Formats: sequence, structure tokens, C-alpha cells
Amino acid sequence: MSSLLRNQKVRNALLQLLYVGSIAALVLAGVVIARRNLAEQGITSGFDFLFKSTGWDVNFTLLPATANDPYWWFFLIGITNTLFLGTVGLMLATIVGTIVGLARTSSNELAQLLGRTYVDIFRNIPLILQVFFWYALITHLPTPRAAHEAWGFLLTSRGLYIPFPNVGGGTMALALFALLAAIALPLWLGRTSQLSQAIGQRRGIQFAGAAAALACAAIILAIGRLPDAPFIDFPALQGLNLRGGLRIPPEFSALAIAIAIYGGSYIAEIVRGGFQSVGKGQMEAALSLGLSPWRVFTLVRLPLALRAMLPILANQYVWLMKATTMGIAVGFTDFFMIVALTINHSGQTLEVIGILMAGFLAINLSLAALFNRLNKAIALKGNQLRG
Amino acid sequence: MISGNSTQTAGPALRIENLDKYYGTFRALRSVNLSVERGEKIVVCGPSGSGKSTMIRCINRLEQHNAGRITVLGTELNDDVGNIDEIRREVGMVFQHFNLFPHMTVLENCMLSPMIVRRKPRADAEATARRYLEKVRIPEQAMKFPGQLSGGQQQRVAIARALCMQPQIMLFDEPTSALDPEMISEVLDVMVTLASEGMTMICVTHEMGFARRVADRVVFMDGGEIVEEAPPEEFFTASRNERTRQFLSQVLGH
Ligand SMILES: Nc1ncnc2c1ncn2[C@@H]1O[C@H](COP(=O)(O)OP(=O)(O)O)[C@@H](O)[C@H]1O
Ligand SMILES: [Mg+2]
Repeated sequence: MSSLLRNQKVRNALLQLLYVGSIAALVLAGVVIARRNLAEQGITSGFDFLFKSTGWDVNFTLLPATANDPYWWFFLIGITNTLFLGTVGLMLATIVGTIVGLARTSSNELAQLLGRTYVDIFRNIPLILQVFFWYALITHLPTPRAAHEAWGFLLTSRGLYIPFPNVGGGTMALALFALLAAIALPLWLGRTSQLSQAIGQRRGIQFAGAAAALACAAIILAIGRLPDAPFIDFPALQGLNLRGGLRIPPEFSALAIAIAIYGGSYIAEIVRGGFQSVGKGQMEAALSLGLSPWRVFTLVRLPLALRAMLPILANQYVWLMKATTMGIAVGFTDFFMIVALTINHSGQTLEVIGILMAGFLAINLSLAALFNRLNKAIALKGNQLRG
Repeated sequence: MISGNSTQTAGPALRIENLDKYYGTFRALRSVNLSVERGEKIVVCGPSGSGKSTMIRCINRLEQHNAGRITVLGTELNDDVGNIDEIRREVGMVFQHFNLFPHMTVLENCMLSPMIVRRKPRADAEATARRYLEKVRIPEQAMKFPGQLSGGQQQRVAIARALCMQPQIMLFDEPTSALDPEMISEVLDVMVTLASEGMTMICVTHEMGFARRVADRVVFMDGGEIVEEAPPEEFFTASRNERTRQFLSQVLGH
């Protein structure tokens, strides 16, 4: 018996069991106590409310919504809105961060100074203030009647109006998928080792792949267009308001811009650190082999910098994802706002907070899992010599 | 400008005339002159900080010289990007710290530049890479990553990688200084083989045994200057230069 307890594997397993068991007991006790307290106050607990209709009208949704829809449907709307805002915000933040980070590592002193000033300013202003600032700025733009038009775009106090293909949601999703393929396909064709062609021929195949995907997108849009309507729907003034096109509401723009600028200042530092961690020796070796500076950047410097950045970048993304809950400050119907509304209307505080936590846990764990896989796939093998 | 195939160009492999190099106000090279014939093997030695690395890094433009002329295989090294590319294609370099690309396999390290710079088809590039890996005696490590190899093996990959570009001149900057003693000879053996096959080589090294065996000339540098230039037997036994004798007594431990 005592020898069994001295076995390291057995010990670790027992400790695990103890740990999981005590957490389970804690949760169970909490649930039991909460149910008893709620019952004493005459509040029924449970998830039945999810199927009642809400009577709500939300200002931004990617899914069809009517006031008769039940709570669970609005939760889905909230989650898709959060994911959409998060995706757009993170992508913009990554672009901003890459540009600013590269400026900070460049040899140009003016670029360095601009990059440093940017980071110093936007990293030190709380995100919520930046959200309010952009929201105030956008809602003080000219009214739709007074707005100026440029290339079919209108920037107004009611939001940004952009021309948009006259197609249904499903068609749009398919077309977007094809566009994504047009980017991914050439990359994949360039990587795959089955293609034993020389660089020149491979280019041709990559172009063909991209062209095929683009043609698919065009065909999907052409087939899916709504009958008896112009192909592209331009926003136009009708009475006091604008009709047509796609309206991006001020709440969404303010949040996306704020996340892009604030997140970008953090990502810039990660990008800078990543590039600085790449040894000069590898770049010199690449140059000495006759590779052009651009090739050295894309084939050696960038891939090595990315490997250094990725783990920290993943943390930053998870953290910025949580920052989308700022939406409630300007009335954007993200997941958090829907949760707050539901608590007010249904009174099922505990259940709804449970849903909120489960939702964010699921989003962030998936994000972390994705990055872990990516990280594992590209991690450098063996011991790395620094020099 | 280069016209046609530079292998047919006559004249020395390398000519350095009155070369000056400044780091800020510090003068790292003082009017250096050196001429290297095709097939010649030069060993460069001298105390630390004497400008050996600076000189050979100027030859492929890892450092930019401030005055004087460098002519490699008939092409003058100046601001013309075409000339720089041409010279880098024909001059291979091996570094003290190997500088392999850690995110690529050994084979990919060797295939990268031939495929992109020489536009070789993949199959050709792979065949060449495997041939040179055989030559440096590590064909079985082709699919490993640099981080999974010993220092001596990594340095031999670095030599193979440079050779895959089929250069006409090879530069070595202290290729064995970062290695554990037991791995030095495996790298030197490869270099000796390369020398016996007629490669033009400029080696910065303190391996005096290697210098005795393969060098046609030993160049001794101190304070950014070439102090002495002599065939090895003369250099090691009959040098009249005080600085040379002092340096030799240090490295040879007399
Ligand atoms: N990038 C640099 N910036 C400033 N000084 C340098 C730089 N590289 C080398 N030096 C200086 O130039 C001198 C020669 O250096 P180096 O050529 O590396 O010497 P060696 O290779 O002979 O040891 C040294 O004094 C060194 O400090
Ligand atoms: Mg040196």
C-alpha cells in the first residue's frame, strides 16, 4: 500500500481526482443552496423562459429577427453579433498592429517615432473612453439629408451606408466563402509538396486556383441575385432617410474602430517583440545565399517572427474578445447586452449568468484551442541556439 | 555589368584594393589590399577585433565598404543591385553560429535558394541537396530540423546549403569557433575535401593545423590592417614580423 502511494503516477492521479472532486462538490453545494433560497423567495428556477417570446426589437442582427422570437433565438443573435464584432475588430486590430509594429522596428526614425507615439497614446486611454469618443464622433456626423456621397458611400450620423449586392443572406455567405477560397487556395497550392513543378509553373497554378474561386464567387452572386432589382443596391435618400445599400450602425462602427485602435496598440508591441527576437544571423545567411530582401522577409524573418508572436497574440485575442462586452455602453446588442436585457425581463439571473459564462468560455476556449493547434503545428523543433 | 556566363571571365577570383571601412568614426579596415586567384585557398588569422570578419563580410556586401574597390569574378561590388545579386549567387558563406533556418528541414534549408534564386525545379534542387548532404556525410539527417542536430552536424549542413548554390568562392568566418572540441575535426575534414577539389576558399580560422595543410597563403591581420601575407611554411617558421610572432606564440602556445 505505502509503496503504491509512493508511485508517482498513482500520486498524480489521486491528486487529480481530489481536485476535480472538490470542485464538483463546491458547484453542487452552490446549486443546492441557490435553489433553496430561490424557492423560499417564490422564484421558480429553470430554463423554461428560454422558449417564451421576447417582444424585442434589436438594432443590429445578422440573423432574421422578429419580436415574437423566443429568448434562445436572441441569445444566438447576441452570440453571432459578438463573434462578428470580435472578428472584424480583431482583424482590423491585427492590421493596425502589424503596420505600427513594423514602423517601430523599421530603420526610419520618423516611422519609429510615429509608432511609439501611437502606442503610448492609445494604450494608455481606457477602451471604454475610446468607444465613447468614436461613438460621439460618429453620431455627430451630418444627418442623412446633409451627408456627402463619395463612390456610393455615405457617412452619416445614422451610420455608414455602403453599396451592397442585391442578394440574400445565404448567397452572400456562399460568395464570401468563395472569396475566402480565392485567398486560401493559392496559399495552399504554394505550400503543398505534391506539386513538384518549378516556381514559375507553380505561379500559374496558383493564379488559376485564385481565378477559379473568384469566378465561382461571381457565378454565385449572379445566380443568387434577387429578381427585378439592380445588381448593386446603392443607398439613396428617400424622404428624410436613406434607403437601400447596407447600413453599418454607429454602435458597431464605434466599437470596431475602438477595438482596432486600442487592440492595435497592444498588438503592435507584440509584433515588434516578435520581429526583434529573430536573430540577425538567419537574415544574413539568407542574404548571403542571394535571396532578395523581400524573400528574406517573407521566407525567413516573418515566419520566425510569427512563431515568436503567436502564443502572446493568442492571449491578446482572447482578451480583446472579452472587451466586446463594452457594446452595452453604446447599446450594441452583443451577447452581454442580450444577457443584461434577459435578466431584466425574465428575472432568471443565475441561469442567464450561467449561459453568459458558458458562452464566453466556449468562444475563448475554441479560440485558445485553435491557436494551440496552430502553435503546435509550426513550433520550431529541437533546441534553439541563440546567436 | 556582367555579360554571359561569368565562369568564363578571366582574371583573379577576388581583388580588394585600398579597402576602408568605418563603423561610425571607428576605422575597422585600413586600406586593405588582397588578391585571390581562382582555386587559391587563403587562411586569414589575427587577434579578436582585428577586422577579419569585417573584411570577409564586405566581400558579399553584408557590410558596405566606405572606400576602395572590391572586384569579385570580374564584377565590381558597388551600389548596383544587379551586381550585388550576381556576386551573392557566386559567393557562398559559412558563419560561426551556423545560421540555419530553424523552421525548415535540413533538406529545405539546402533547396530554398537554388529553387528561388537559381529557379531550379524542385526535383533537381532536391537531387543536388541530397548529393551535397552525402558529401558532408549527413545524408540520413535530411528530414530533421536544425534544432535536432549537434553543432558539428549543423555546421556541415550550413556548408552543404552554401554549396547547393554551386558557388565559385566560399567564405568561412570562424566555422569551428562555436563547436565543442570533438566536433571540430568533422567540420575541418569537410573543408579539407572541398579544398582538394579546387574550390576557391577564404577562411577566417585559428585552426593552424588546417592552415598548414591546405592554405596557399596565410594572411595575418591586426588593427584593421593586413600585416603579413606568406605561404604557411614561411609564415609559421620564418616570420620576421614582431606582431605575427607574438600572435603565433599565443595560438600555438609556445
Ligand atoms: N556593427 C559594428 N558596429 C560597430 N563596430 C563594429 C561592428 N562590427 C565590428 N565592429 C568593430 O570593428 C572591429 C573589427 O571587428 P571584426 O571584423 O568583427 O573583428 P574580428 O572578426 O577580427 O574579430 C572591432 O573593433 C569591432 O568592435
Ligand atoms: Mg570575427
